[in-house]
Amino acid sequence: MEKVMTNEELWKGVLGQVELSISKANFVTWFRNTSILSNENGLVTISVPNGFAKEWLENKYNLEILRSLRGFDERINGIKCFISGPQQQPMMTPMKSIDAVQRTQSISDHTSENPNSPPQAGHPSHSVPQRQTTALYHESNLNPRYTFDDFVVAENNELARAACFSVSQNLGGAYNPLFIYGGVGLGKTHLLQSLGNEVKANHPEKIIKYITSERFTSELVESIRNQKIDKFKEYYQQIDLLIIDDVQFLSGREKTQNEFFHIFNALYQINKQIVISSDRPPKSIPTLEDRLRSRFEGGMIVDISQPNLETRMAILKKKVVEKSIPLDDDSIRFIAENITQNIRELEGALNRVIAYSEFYKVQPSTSIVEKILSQLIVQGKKNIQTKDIIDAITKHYDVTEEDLIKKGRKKGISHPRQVAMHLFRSELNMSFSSIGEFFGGRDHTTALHAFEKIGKDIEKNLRLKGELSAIKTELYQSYGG
Amino acid sequence: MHIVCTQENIARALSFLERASGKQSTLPILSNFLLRNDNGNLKLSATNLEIGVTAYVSAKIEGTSEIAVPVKIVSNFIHNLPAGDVVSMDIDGNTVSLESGGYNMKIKGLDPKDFPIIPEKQGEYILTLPAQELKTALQELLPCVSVNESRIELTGVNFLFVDNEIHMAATDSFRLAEYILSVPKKDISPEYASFAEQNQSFIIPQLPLQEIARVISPETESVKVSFEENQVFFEIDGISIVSRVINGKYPDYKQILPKTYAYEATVSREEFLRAVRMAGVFTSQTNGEMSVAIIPSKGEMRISSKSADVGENETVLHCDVAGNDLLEIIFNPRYILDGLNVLDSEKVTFFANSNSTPVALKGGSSDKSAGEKDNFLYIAMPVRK
Repeated sequence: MEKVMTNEELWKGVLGQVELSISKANFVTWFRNTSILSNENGLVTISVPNGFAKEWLENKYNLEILRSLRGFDERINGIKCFISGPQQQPMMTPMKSIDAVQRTQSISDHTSENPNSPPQAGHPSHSVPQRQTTALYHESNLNPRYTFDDFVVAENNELARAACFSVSQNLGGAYNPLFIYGGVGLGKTHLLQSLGNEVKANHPEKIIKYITSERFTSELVESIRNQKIDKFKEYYQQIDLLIIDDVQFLSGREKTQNEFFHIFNALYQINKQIVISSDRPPKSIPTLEDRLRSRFEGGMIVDISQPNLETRMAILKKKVVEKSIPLDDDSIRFIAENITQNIRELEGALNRVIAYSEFYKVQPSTSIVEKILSQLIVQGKKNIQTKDIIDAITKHYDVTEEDLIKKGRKKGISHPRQVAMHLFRSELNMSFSSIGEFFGGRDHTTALHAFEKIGKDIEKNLRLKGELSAIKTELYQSYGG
Repeated sequence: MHIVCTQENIARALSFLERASGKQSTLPILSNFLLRNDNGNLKLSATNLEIGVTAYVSAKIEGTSEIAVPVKIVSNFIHNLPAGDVVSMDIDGNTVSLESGGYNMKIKGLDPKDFPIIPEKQGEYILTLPAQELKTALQELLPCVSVNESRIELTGVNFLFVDNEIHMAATDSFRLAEYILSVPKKDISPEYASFAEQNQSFIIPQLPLQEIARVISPETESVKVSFEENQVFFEIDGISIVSRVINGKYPDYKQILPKTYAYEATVSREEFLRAVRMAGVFTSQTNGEMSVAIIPSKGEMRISSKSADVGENETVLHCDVAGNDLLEIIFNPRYILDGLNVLDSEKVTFFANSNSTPVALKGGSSDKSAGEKDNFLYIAMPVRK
């Protein structure tokens, strides 16, 4: 160390290391209000608030502290504690720039300048030259792995990509807010992250925050509990680009929606960019407050639909080139043809093939790929017949097929019948009138009622939920096995 | 380790340990007490990291070991046992078995290594105080200690050492109490003499003082005291209490104590107390205002209060008054009440100068006839109009 460290810096470094090795309760109890009083002739005198801390630091943590001190300064060979009052402690004054989020992460983050990246042994935070930008205190949560270059553009997502790209070039100017929706594993997160990374690369001074709505909620709850709600708001209102992923999870959380609404408005009014993703359009998110919905709809809404075969093959080819795996076109086509719903699963399937071929040292051919993926593919919803559902229902509820079909509203029968109708609709996508027809010529409204009733009850009734998942497992396993 | 002791001995120790143990859940070990064989003596200690209490209990011990056990559970068991029984304890690994007559209990303990180390003094005790007088002093002073953490130096009692006297004071800036404790000549050690010469003062937090007042029993004769490195150590009948002292400068209260008084009124404490309590009916807890009027010409003291919404009251007390014209002073009755409550003499004297300067309450009549004590002074600030 060329630079001479002040006692304060030295102690900060020690605390940073000690904090990692002991529990938070212990750290807060024993190291709060401590500082270095003097460092002379290799003897470091530590100021502690009471006799208990003195005994504990001198007898239990002495080696740890000494080792850590020696890591910074070889000349130190002993420590001593001195009891002094709490009001002399400079560390009591809270750092102004610590924001709400970081407060919630750790009560005692006076230990390092940037609590988001806890100092690693040997790389204490104070030895890093400190950039005096506020961005230092904001964690963007961006994963640099995602960029626009990696994103395979196709018919299903080109609009979404174009919207994201133009937003990244013109923050707050192009489309604000930008709302992206689409099914699971279709690349929403990839697009959002790419957008963030692009902005970060071009404008490092901008404050970017990528956060899932789930995490947003828990940070909010935490800040309310710690009575730091003002800090929380203040923190969010400084952001230049706020990216909220999976916003549908805000559904039903009124207080969070409320806070989010205010943050949204505050950012929107000063023309800061907001980007939101969800698995469905704002209209279809249940219990989303109207004022939020209308705000979401006020900007640009784009969707990402399911990729077609060509897109899936293009994605696979890109991955294959990236990972330089010898995989022929037929195998790629086979994978793309069989895994249709979800790009994440597509990648998973490819990884499975790669792992298999690496493990057994074989060149993957179509037949091998077929074998590897047989399990994955069988799990799909293909080829389930009405008979399979009836079998599963009769088996599960111990009723006969005749019972289900004949007229009669016996309580023991009507419930299995309704479940069966629900499954006919949800699993086979049959029309309500044909379902009614199947069950002894009932009216289509009966089938509709059954479908809606079960669909509604399943939200509230845990037992019913368990029943349904048991039946479904039975359904797919008996078929696959 | 096998321990046998009487229920009374351990119950007494546990009641003090229980009060000193920690309640917060961040460090669960603090709700335990440490039990160990200290050179053939049974040593129990507990701490909440603010104060530490160590008690030696006379017992028969075989074997050496130590363990931390939940103080609440053990205390509950012991206190429910019939008095006079003998308790035997067996420590096996991390389990403690307690047994007395037909009563049994088994508790899981914690690793004693996690238990905080209670600071121990290095030198000898430098001061021995008469226990009963200290207890009286503390009982009179503690009600005046401030509970407001914003002025940390007022949350304790100030001990100022002047020759063979200890001037103890407590205030919350609305009223102040001072007790002057004389240390008997025979108890003055050379160490204390040099200590007192430096005119040192210490502010001792309220919590350990409350505990001391509690530990002192009618039979207790003396309390040993020592100050070391911003910590204070007490020992009373085998119970040691350690606490830090409050770092800060106590206000120089001596200069606000009035030297002379223009008015003096001596009244029966009981009657005065009754009048103030009645006046309290028409005042609210927070901003109560009670008027005390001294009328020297009639030899009267009138105590009155009124509330615009509720009503009013007035009490006339006949008393010996010295002074000139009528003087009316407004008080928060609570502060007068606290002073009257701790004075235990039959008569009290009320001293005043004007309606905006502090007034004093002292026990006994102003002429100090029957050798009544003159070492306690209670000062209250009037409410300024």
